[in-house]
Amino acid sequence: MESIIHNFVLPGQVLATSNSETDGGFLRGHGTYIEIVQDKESDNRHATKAWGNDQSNYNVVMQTDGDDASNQEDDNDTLKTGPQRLIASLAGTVQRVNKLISVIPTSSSVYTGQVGDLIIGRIIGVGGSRWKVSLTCSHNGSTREGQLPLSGVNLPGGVQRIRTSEDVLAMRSLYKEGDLVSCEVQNVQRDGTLILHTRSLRYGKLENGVLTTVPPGLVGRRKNHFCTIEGKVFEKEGANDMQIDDEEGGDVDVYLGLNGGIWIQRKIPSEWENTQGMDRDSRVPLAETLQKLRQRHASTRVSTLMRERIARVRNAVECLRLVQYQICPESIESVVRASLMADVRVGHMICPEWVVQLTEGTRQ
Amino acid sequence: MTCRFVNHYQLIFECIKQHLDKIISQSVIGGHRQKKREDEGKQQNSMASISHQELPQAKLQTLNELLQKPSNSRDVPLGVTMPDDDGSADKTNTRTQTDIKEAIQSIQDALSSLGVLPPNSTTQTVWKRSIPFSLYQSPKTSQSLTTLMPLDRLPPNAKIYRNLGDGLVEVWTHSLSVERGDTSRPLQGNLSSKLVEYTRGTMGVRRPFRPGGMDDEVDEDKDGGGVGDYLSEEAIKRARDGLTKDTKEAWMDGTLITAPPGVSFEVGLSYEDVFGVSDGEDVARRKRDDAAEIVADDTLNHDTRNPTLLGGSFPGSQTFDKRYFDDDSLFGDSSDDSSSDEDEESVEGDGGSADVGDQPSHVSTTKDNNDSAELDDVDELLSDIHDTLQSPFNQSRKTLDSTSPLIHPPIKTERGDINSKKDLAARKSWAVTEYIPITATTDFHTLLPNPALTFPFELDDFQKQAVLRLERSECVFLAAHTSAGKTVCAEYAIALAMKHCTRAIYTSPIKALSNQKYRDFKNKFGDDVGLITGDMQIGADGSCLVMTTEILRSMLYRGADVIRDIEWVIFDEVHYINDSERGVVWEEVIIMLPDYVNLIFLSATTPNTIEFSEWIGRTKRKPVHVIRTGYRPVPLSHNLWAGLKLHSILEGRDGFNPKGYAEASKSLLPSSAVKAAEEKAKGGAKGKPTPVPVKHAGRPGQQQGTKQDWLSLARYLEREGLMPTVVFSFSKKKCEEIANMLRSLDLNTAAERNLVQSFTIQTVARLSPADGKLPQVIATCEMVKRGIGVHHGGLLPILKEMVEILFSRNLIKVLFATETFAMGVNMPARSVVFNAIRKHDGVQFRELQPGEYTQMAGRAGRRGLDKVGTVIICCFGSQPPDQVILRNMLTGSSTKLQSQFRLTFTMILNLLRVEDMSVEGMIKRSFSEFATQRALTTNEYPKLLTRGSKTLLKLDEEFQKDADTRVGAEDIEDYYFASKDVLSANNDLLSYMTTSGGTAGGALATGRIVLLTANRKQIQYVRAPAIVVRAPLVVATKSGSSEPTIICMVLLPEGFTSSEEDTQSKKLKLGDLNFIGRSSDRSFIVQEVKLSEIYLVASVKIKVDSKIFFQEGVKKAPAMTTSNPFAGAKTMKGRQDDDFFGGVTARGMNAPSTSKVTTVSQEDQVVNEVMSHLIKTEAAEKQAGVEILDLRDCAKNMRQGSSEVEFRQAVDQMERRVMTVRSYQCHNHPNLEKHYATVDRKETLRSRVMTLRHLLSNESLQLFPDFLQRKALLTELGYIDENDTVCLKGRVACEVNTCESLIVTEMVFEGMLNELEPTEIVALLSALLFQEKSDEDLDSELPQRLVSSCERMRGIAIYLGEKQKGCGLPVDPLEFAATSLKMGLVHVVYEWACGVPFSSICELTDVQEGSIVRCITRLDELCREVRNCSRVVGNPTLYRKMEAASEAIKRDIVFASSLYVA
Repeated sequence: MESIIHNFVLPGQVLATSNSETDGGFLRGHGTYIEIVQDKESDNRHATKAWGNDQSNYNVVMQTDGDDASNQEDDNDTLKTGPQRLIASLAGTVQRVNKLISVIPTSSSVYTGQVGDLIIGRIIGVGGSRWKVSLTCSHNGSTREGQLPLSGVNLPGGVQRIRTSEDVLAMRSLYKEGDLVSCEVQNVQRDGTLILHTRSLRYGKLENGVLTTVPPGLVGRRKNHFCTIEGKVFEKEGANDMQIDDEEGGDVDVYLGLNGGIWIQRKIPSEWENTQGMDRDSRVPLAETLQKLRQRHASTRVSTLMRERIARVRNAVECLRLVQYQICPESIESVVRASLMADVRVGHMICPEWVVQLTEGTRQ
Repeated sequence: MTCRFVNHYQLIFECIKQHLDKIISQSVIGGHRQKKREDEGKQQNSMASISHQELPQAKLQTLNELLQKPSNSRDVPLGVTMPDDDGSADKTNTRTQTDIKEAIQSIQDALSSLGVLPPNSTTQTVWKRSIPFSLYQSPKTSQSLTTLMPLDRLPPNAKIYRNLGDGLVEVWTHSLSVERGDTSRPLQGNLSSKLVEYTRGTMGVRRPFRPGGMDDEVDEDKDGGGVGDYLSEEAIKRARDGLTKDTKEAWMDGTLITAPPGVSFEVGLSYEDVFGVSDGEDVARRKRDDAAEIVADDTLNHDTRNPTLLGGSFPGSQTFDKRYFDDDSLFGDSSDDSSSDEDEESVEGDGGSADVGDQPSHVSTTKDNNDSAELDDVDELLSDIHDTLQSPFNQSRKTLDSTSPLIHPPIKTERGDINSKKDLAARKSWAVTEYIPITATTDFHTLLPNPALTFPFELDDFQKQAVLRLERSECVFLAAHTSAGKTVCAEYAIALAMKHCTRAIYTSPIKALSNQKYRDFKNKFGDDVGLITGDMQIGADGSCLVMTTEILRSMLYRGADVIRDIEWVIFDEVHYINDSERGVVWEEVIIMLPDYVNLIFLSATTPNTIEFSEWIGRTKRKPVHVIRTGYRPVPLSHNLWAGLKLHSILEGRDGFNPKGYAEASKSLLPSSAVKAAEEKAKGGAKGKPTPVPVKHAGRPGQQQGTKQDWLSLARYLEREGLMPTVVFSFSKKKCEEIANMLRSLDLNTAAERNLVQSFTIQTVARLSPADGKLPQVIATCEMVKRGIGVHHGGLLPILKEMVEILFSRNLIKVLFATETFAMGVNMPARSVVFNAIRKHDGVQFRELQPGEYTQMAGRAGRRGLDKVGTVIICCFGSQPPDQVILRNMLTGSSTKLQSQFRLTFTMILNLLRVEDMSVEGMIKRSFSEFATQRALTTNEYPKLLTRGSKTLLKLDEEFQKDADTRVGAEDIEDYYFASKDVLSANNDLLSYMTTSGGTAGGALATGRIVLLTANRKQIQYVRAPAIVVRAPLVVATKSGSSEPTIICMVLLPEGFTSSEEDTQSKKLKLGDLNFIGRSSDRSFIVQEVKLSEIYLVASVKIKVDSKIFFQEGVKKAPAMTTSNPFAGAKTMKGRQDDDFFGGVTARGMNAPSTSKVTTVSQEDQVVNEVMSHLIKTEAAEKQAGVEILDLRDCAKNMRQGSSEVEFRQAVDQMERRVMTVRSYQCHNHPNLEKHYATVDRKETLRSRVMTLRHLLSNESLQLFPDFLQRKALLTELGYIDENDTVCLKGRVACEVNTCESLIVTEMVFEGMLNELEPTEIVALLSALLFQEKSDEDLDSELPQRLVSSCERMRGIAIYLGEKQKGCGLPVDPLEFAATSLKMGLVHVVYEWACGVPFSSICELTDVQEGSIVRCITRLDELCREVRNCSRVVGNPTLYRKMEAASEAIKRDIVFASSLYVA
């Protein structure tokens, strides 16, 4: 916590000063800009100013000594550029990797994509052989759009695409306006536009579940964003009378979209797979089986118990959002547990007093 | 009336038409099905409503009639197919006016084509089809609240709004709720399954999407259904027709594949159905069975066409004789191997279980029946697991030796097995070697009526096979010689992709090859071909993309869009997978390609093609058809060039000809030597006159031909008409040298010279004037004019291409080339000359491998031009190359495909970045892990594991339950573990001691009393006293490992009884192993005991005649013992009163067995004595513990130094452990054995289960430790965090593919590049790309800053090397730095970037021009990658700098466009 406070900068705050960018002092990264100091106010060019009015807890000490070349460089470069200052252009925390200094924005309403991120978005437009996917998930966030090109989706059944105009016309049959999809960031273009794709069969249309949105900053990057909250979490200790449908394991799937979209649905029971004829040597490819499972998932009623569970998870996420706590399976689980312990009804979970109480354990 | 009627209808039709237009515009053919349905509904709606309000019912009827009328017109709107009519056209339509008719017809056509309305059916029959339930559901966007339904199809809960008559009702949509169950498929499924059907590659034909009703189905339904969800015969027939016709024709004819929605073709329709293959196959097979008699005429013709075929082939009706394809005859070996192997295994298994079966009778006292039955189970399981655990090693060993043992080539199996459908289900092998029978040439054309591509020549059989497989969208592995015509396969696949509107990707190992292939394909297929290499990208939208494998890999990592369109990926020269540096790329690509992509592998002949295909098939989960052929269209003749003459040593498919060799060697010797040799031969030393010292002396001469030699060779070739010729020599320098020797030679005619002249002028015109004057350019141009060319890596790329093109146009008569020329593209010559047969492979000088030789020699012989290809091996020295080497090179089998899989940082980072791939998965699926992984699954480890763990659970439970039966032995579990500890400690000590042989320092000498703990199947004993009767002896056991064993006489626990019949039935007697005898009311057994069963060695040692209990010879020669008259005696009691003393004196193993004759009473006496000793010992152990022998004394002589201390400690520890064991309460428990056995069973199973689990887990992967180490390094360096999430640094590293990404990343983050000018940056980066060795020190002329940066870069490399070493990777920091950084071109590139002309920079270095150009081209690629890095980092300065750097080097000759491309 300490370090976060010390690393926190505001726009305009000087992060580092140095002789010039080329003298090896620092490297400009995201969220910063360089200002050339006109008058040489300080002789101590090699020393570096720290963060604004802050004390010396976090200092960037420029290391221009030690290099044989530095003296000579000074002579060369003073002519070209004067001393420079690296200034934060965003409010956020400072990240230093070797000599690279960048500011990671704390403003959580802005989502900047990275290759490989999981996105939960809504289709808002079809055309030009691509889908427009709205990535806006927080209520007051700026509108961001990603593009999901037709060539970036898997056709149902895992078949390969035929490059004709037919499938361009049939695009709506895959996803139409209003559909929710999960996809992966394939590429970030220069202007920041996200190009999405559904790399594998895990991505695709989302049905029969609940979407809740949180500020993107609350969803941290982790190894796996397709999480599962096991059914036993929901079972109250000692009370075994809660009957779970024998068909469903009672697990809940939570997809943590890095853009802040969080999708909650029933986990596809493993029994289905067996009934779906997963015998390995049959000629039915895996893709088709998965697709059938999905269809079945989308068309099968969710039992009341399961609905309650999903709702509980959803409200747990909401609780975490309200207290601005990071959303991860562990935190969700702990809130769910707390709510069960406290015997709170699902609907009451987001009452302010409960929110505080339920997240208390998690926050510590 | 008519008039009004017309007007009314005009109106209605206009209305409908508008609707239709809307539909059509929204969904042409493959349109949105739901939308259509919706509209359909709407139309019905609107029609209905109109009819209700404005028209009398009768008129509606008329309209309906009109609509029902079949149309005669055939114009198909918007390319939609019209199904065939049955021709029952109504002829009464004259009563309406023609315009109405037309209007109606067009609408009807449109409707029917969209599937809204079948042309010859009534409106009711529209609904006869099963309706997907989602159609009942009103889409959210729809405004309508009601919908039309047929009455007979109403869902149970539907609320009817009103009844329209005619069996139609209007219902409230909301009442048609979702809960209709999932018998009918939801909409999405419908569409997708259509797509699946229509687009799945399996059918091989692109079928147009034709939504909606298909008349056949309706008919079928009318016929009373019964067809269910499956296709009727008729439908299959139709489908077959449709498939065998061209798609387009089928379209026109209206012959369509029809299937009810939701039925995938897989269910009812298979290839056999479509192509009728299975029948044909059966017939063919039957034919083949009695093929001995039948010699079909047509095949004779066929055979004569291929003289080579005739020689070895089977003259049956089956053209596809096995040997024709497999000259290396692998099938025989492998199948034999596998079958015998399996037999053995199964026998073993049987034996094991049989043992288990009859053993419990021995121990009936200790167990009740229930128990023993259960024991059976567990023991069986244990032995199962044990057996399978043994097998993977055998298997992996086997696969190394030859092909995989598991492959059962179907061609060898019984006819019944090949029933392909069943076979597919029960498939064990993914590599299919079965051939499609083609008996006559016409068969091929019937099987392939509409080829995607036709060839101007009749295809060879293996090509036909391949093409047929491709047509069926199956993976093909084609192994054939270079000139055999593998390209046909590639071309066909490309044509198929074009036909199917998908993509084919062609990958080649080298960029130059890509360029050539691009030109070839472009000539063949036109503009729809693209080329993507590191430095250029042309037509990236094409149906066929040519690229290097590296590019494809990075596309896969990125998940590029292109990937999703791919239908075919063609891997040319896939044997490149053996390349240690780049081979891993092929594996990565094969693993990562999506499953729906079909793969084609073109390879030179390799011995383990099947194994490799098996791996691919397994990885991709689809069969790979292996087509191998040793066939050469032009046979080769191999010759030695000696004494100005050719000496044939191998012709065509004949064997090696030693005569030719002898002649050659003779002709090389000076005349005097010849005489000498002749004399010598007369003297009797027949054979090779090859004195070894001469051979060595001859070697240098062999490498080096003089100018005279070459001139005479060239003249000879010219005279004999053997030009054009490719001369392979294995260094760039040698190529140049020899070419220069022939300066006086002019091989071109004047006309040819003119052609060459004009071509060279054209080529040079692409260069800047200054570059045109480069010495290499001038020299090459001059040389090619005389018909002589050079081709090697040092040549400027453009010159290389020029030479290639001239050669292919037959304007170069002699080409001096390095090995790269043998790769890929079809550039055959009349003859091939080998300058030498030794080459430097980067590590050492070695002889050419057979595979390499074949590849190069295969360049000889132009198809259609030459009858025979001549291969000449030059012998310039006084000796030809060694005969053995030659023979091996010519006839040996080529190199096996071997996995070069290794982990790279780029791979790890890229895989960690995305969620749905994992490094573990990658390793698991790699070729190197293949054998192990296959063994795991085929041995049903998973099944065994689940079985094992289940049983384990049960055992645990039972153990808990039976707790109360173990009174006095509650601590049995702890006791068990403690005694296990003692056993293993003792084992360690004793085996250490027995390494020196003998009696382990007296510890295990004959007569020593030991305590044993063993849990065998029949007899268990714990801490049972025994006496050693034979000292340790190392015996090779069955599994091959040798473990010393001793033979003991063991006192069995009290209460042990054995059935005497059993002893007798086995005809055992005292002196045999496993003899169970009784004495003093206790039983004893003579047994072989492993060291690991010795629980402790007592200090007591008694004198005993060991031969009484065990006679060495007995085991081997049972006949000897029969001399003993008392052999059959049952027990010892009967022979008690004989000699007293014999046994006591008898001692020592070495005494000959016949020298001592002991009488029965003596034996008895001894036995009794021993027994009493043992019983005493037992009692002693139970009371206070037997005194332990001090092993330290025994081992006195064998240990020295530090091991002594260790040994002492070990002994101490062992003794302490024994004390612990004795302290347990149950140590003295009377029923200890039983309890002990229970625990032992449980724990053994547990450990086995653990082993299985380990084997099945990632940890058992060979590369897993390596992976962990690398990951640790990446974490330490901050590329990934502790959760394995890729951090900023890691993302930067992902951008760099061309070189060591870590070094570049570190440089970026150190800001090194920002400090430099663009020119300096490229100079610096060149060090990462240059590969040749060059010891050049950095020039003093370079800017100081650059020099220091180079030093810093080296520092970084060393730092990284140290880090890697620190993480346990086998990396030497200095070597790492040296191999990844080569400063040789820093100066050159710096000057180049500064704008110095190419000619001047060439003078700076002795690196050849071609290498410089290659380095700079790759540098451009690296610049682009670094630019991307800067974007990831967010530093615009660097971005601009890299742009500038890229600009600075991109000019003139270095980036002159390829001759092939432009």
